[in-house]
Amino acid sequence: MRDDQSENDTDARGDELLTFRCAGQHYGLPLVDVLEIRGWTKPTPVPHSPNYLRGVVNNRGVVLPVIDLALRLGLPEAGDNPRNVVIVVQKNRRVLGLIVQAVSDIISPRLSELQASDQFKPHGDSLLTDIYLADDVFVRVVSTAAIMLPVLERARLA
Amino acid sequence: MDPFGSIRATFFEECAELLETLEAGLLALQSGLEDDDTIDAIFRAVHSIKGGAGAFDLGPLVAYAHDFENALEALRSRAIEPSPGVMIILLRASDTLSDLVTASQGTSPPPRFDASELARLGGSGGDMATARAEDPSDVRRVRPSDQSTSGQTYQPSWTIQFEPLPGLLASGNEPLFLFRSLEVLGSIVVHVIDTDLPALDDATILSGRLRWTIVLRPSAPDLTETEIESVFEFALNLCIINIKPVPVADPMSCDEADLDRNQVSTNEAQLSATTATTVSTPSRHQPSQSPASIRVELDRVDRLVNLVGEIVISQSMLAQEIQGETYPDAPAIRTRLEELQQLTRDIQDGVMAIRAQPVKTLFQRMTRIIRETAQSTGKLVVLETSGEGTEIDKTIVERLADPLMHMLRNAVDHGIEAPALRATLGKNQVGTVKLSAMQRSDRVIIEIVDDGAGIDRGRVRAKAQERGLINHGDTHTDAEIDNLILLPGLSTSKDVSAVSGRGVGMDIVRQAVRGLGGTIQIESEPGCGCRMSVSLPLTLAILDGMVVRCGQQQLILPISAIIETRMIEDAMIEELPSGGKVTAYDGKLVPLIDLATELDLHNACASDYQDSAIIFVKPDEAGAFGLRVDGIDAQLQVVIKGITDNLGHIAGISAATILGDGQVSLIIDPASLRHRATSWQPNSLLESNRSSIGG
Repeated sequence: MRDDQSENDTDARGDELLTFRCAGQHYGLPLVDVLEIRGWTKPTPVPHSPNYLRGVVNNRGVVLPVIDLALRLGLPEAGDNPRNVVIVVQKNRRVLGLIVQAVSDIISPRLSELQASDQFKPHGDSLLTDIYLADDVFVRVVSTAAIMLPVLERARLA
Repeated sequence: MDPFGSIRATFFEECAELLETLEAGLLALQSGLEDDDTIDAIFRAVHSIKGGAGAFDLGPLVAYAHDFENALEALRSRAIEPSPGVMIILLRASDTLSDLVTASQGTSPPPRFDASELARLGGSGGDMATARAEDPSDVRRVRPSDQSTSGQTYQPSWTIQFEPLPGLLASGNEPLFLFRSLEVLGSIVVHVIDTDLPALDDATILSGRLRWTIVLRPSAPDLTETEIESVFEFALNLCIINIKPVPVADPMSCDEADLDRNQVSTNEAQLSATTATTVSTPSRHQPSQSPASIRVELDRVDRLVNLVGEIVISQSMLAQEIQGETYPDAPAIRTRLEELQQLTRDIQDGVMAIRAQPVKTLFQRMTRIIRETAQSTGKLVVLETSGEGTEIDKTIVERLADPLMHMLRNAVDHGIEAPALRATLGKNQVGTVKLSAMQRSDRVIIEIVDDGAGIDRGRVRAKAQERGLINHGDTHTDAEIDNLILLPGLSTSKDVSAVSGRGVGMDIVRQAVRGLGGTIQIESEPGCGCRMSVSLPLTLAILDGMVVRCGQQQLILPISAIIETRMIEDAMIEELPSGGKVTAYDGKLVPLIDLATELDLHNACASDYQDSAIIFVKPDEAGAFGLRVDGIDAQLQVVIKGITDNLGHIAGISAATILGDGQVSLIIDPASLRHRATSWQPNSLLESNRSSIGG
């Protein structure tokens, strides 16, 4: 009986994730935070902004700020490649576009695949919330709130 | 779901208007304008509120309104005079009434007030009754002496006996409606006969057991029985009616007891009233003198504004496409396009005008703030307003209320001195605060001027140093010290009062004004007073802009700020030892700001000056400066898209727009640009800028 129960527990699934590739690595975002996925257009630069804030783009009439997620994560920049993809995330009625290389899949990883992320977090990086080993691929799950934080902070100070 | 939800909402909207009329009337009386129309208007306002409140069973509101009415009646009948003391009590009463209305909406706790003030006023005239019975539920005793003054009643009068049959209420008829219709014909006195009422246990709601006797004094001498009957035409088979002329008009003096019962029964009748009555109550008693108007939901207007904005963008795109091509009919097409642009402009103006509201209502609310603040700080202050007719966009009006309140509170609390001190300084004991609004091209300037002590620069400097906002030993201009009060955490008041002192107020003002795309300026003269100027854009949505180039990028500069443009070779540029540049304009040296450098754009602009131009900009009173750009491309009407929600505040940029080619273009904020380039920034602001950029 107990074996059955524990088997159920390990089979339990975590939140749905949108997986994507960024600077050659695999990442995941909680699907609930994703508003839409769109193509890359050349952003209009915004003055006095951190290097990862590439600027703003016209998203169907809304002025959307876009950041280079690789730079934000401390990885080599994605650059102005027209084949890049923008994931539009939303938190607390604020939107942000994340420039990534490509979008992969939507997965619901099993909790049993969860690797304790504390051991793997380099330099106390608080942008990562979980790491899954799903289908022999490490998927690093990032926190939308943490990514948006500096942009949000700035909006609050306004 | 409250079936009366939307009617309640309408009632509260109308209450708001009535309260405005009430306060305006009281203020007029206070300033010496004593005419019957004003008093009548005041009375009607309170009466209407009471009527509606009764229908919704808002007990405390009805009771207070009733006391208020008594007091006003005493005023109207000259039992009391509108002396300053009386007016203060009445104004306080109108504030309390307003609070009670708000409390009745369930959004705030009930206010505490002293009911005896009004009762005392009303008591002196409370016995007087009005010859005009304005509401069957509010019948007063009719005195013989009033008959002659009523002047509008003729003989003979009629006695109507009215007994509803069981089917009357079920058919949707309502004795109250019928009495109101009768009232159109003349004045009525209604008596209820409730001797047939069964015991409560046996009573059924659907079969009424009440009968009424109505005495009607027609206002037209030739009223016929048929006309009276026609009032009951929908209920003919559902009631028993007996109409008899009365040979001689006897002064009817009725029993107090009858009157009370009558009030109770008609209140019950009111509670069961359907929508038509409750909406008609206020309008019946409020002959509107304002031009015909309709109420529109704000959402609809907003949608309209957005659509017009999109039309403007589409037009720009169209113009851009056509520009490149050579059509056989090119001149004709261009003419048509210009006509289209003119029409769009007109629509846009019209739509913006819908949302525009005069600041009058806002200013009126402020009189109450001054009253309350003066009272709680023990000062004597009078508020003078001007430019109330100036119109600004509705959303700006709403968002301006809080900052204005803070500024006025500060003016009274910190600015105006105590009466005794003012006397020793040779000033009038009563301080003056002037609140004004005026339109200047595409901006609205709102000013608050007080004749108080001005800003105590010594204390501000000391407090700022204490908080680490400025360093000891730095020198600052007077203006810089004055503007320190806008920083968060800076308050020089010794005590924290309920009004101010926590150092929060002016920071909120600064943020709110910035959020509206405006600027705020403070001028102070010690001993004389202080002037605070808020400059706001007229509309939030559409802007006339000049497209300027900075390297690869195009930015928009608001045309309203531009005074002149000049090619670079025609300009005289000097470099200062500190590294800044100046140029000559109109015989004076003004700072020269390089747009590319100042905005720190990542795609560095070409520094060869060939195509460059200098645009002389004067965004507000503070002074002109020159702005060097790489080129001037076009003049455009653009739709303003906000960016502060997602990006926060960026120095030098106010908003963004979408150009005809679909690209986002930033809109320059010249005042903010100059501020950042030329003035010194206190430590706290620098810190906060650094931390937000560092991420």
